[in-house]
Amino acid sequence: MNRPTLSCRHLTKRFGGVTALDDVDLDFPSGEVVGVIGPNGSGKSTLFNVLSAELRPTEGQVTWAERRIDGLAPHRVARLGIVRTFQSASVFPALTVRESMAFAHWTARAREARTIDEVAGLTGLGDLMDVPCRALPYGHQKILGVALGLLTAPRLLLLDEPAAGLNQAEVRRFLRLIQDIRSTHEIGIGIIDHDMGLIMPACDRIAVLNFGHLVALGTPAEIQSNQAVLDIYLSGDLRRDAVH
Amino acid sequence: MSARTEARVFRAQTASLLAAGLLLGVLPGFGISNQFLQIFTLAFLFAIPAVGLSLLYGEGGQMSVASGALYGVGAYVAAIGAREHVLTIWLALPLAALAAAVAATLVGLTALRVRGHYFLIITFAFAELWRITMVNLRSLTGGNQGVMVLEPVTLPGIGEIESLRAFYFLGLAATLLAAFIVVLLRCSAFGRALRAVRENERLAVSLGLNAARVRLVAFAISGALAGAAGTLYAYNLKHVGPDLFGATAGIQIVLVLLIGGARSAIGPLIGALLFSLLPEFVALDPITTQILYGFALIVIVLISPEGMVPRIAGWLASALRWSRRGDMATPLPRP
Repeated sequence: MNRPTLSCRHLTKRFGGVTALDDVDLDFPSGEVVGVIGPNGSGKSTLFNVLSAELRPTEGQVTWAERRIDGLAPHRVARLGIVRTFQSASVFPALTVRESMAFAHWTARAREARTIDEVAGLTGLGDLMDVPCRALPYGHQKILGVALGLLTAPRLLLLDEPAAGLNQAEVRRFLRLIQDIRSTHEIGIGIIDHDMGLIMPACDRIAVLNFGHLVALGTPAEIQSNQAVLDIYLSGDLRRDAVH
Repeated sequence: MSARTEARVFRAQTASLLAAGLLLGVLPGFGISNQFLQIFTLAFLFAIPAVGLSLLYGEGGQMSVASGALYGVGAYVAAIGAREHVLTIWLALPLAALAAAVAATLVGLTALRVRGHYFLIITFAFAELWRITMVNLRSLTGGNQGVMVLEPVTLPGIGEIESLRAFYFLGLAATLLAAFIVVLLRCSAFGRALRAVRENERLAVSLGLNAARVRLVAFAISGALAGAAGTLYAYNLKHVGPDLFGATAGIQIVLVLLIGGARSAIGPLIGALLFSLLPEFVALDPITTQILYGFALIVIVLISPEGMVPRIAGWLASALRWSRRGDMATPLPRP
């Protein structure tokens, strides 16, 4: 399982009468960056919540390296190397950056993980190690989320709206971070975001969700010229944002 | 606490325990009365379950009022074992700790899906269930009469230790040992994992931590310490009865912890000493004392859930413009 793939097949999630995910087939191979876009409420976060086993699918299955993982406890899925970050900044408020990192590193003790210093250097958090997480600026809290994920030696990182709430300079930093992770880590990355300035340059493939359906899947160039996608984003924001 | 801070906290807390041991170790040399020796001894034995709770609450953020009943599990194991002539105190200590840890694990397993106030309510139900069971399981527990402990305490090579003074030192040593065990755990990766669960359980789980198991282990350890202390209690008072170990006792242990502080090594000891000694000096009748304890609990939880002594020390320190260390000043969630 050198290059494991996270696959979902016929993935459906209903909340009462609402169908948040409807028969979705999607692969996240390692070594690839897969973007997931779509309007609010299209099922993107539900998808990540099902993939990380926080939610159980109503129908369909999730496999990792050919092994079923839906129905596992969330911490077990994380230990397989599928680690997600959260939409709003999620940190250990009272712990320092260093202690948070020590904790994340410890959870990966059975695997070969990057050292804390390496990850601190990669994410640019080296000067903030003794700061309590709650005192970090919002953008740094979101970067810390990625750093904690990296310290667990993941095989697949699922980033839920990493750019939300960040300013343009911070988004550019985040994009650089993702590209750095790609070049230094042999892992797959899944990104949910609305910011096309992040998604388009960062991703190899992009999946478009609308009302829980997978409506398109392709390279950034294909997605930008896909009529179904342009119809969803009526204003044409997609094309304008992608062109810098 | 980061790795560096952990080492610093370990040194400071170990030093505070050594200082407390030295101070309390020479105290009987100043000719204090037998009455006060016994009050101190009971305070030590009451500090141990609070030490256990300091791990669960101080690091894990999870409050419990089961400590009194788990103390009772240990006390009854020791007392019944002595009555049936199958256990001496030294056999009873590990067995009582184990029994209380198992009891805590069983309670914890039923409660794994809940946390915070809901878990607290379950520990309350367990504590009362335990007390009522001890009242009604007469053939085994003697009902309301309880169990007399006639077995002497013998130290190999020394013989029977029956003097109040000997028991004072036994209680002191046990308290310091329990507190040191918790210091070790607090400054270990396990302590860090407990803090991570307290601060953000969803994030801790997303990084691969079995948060439920960490909480369960912390609860079991707090139970084991309470159970061991219960054995010493049974041999010290030579009698155990159901009313000593219900939810009321559990709440008193919470009060002890909240007076002394949940994040320090000597906090529970200071809390237990204040809790036991103040009524002696103020000379209040028991009912008024209970009412005042109730008020004190409410006031402390409202003002300073991390502990009254640390808060007052903090006020003094800031009055003297001392800088305070970040981690220790972090407020705990209200229990």
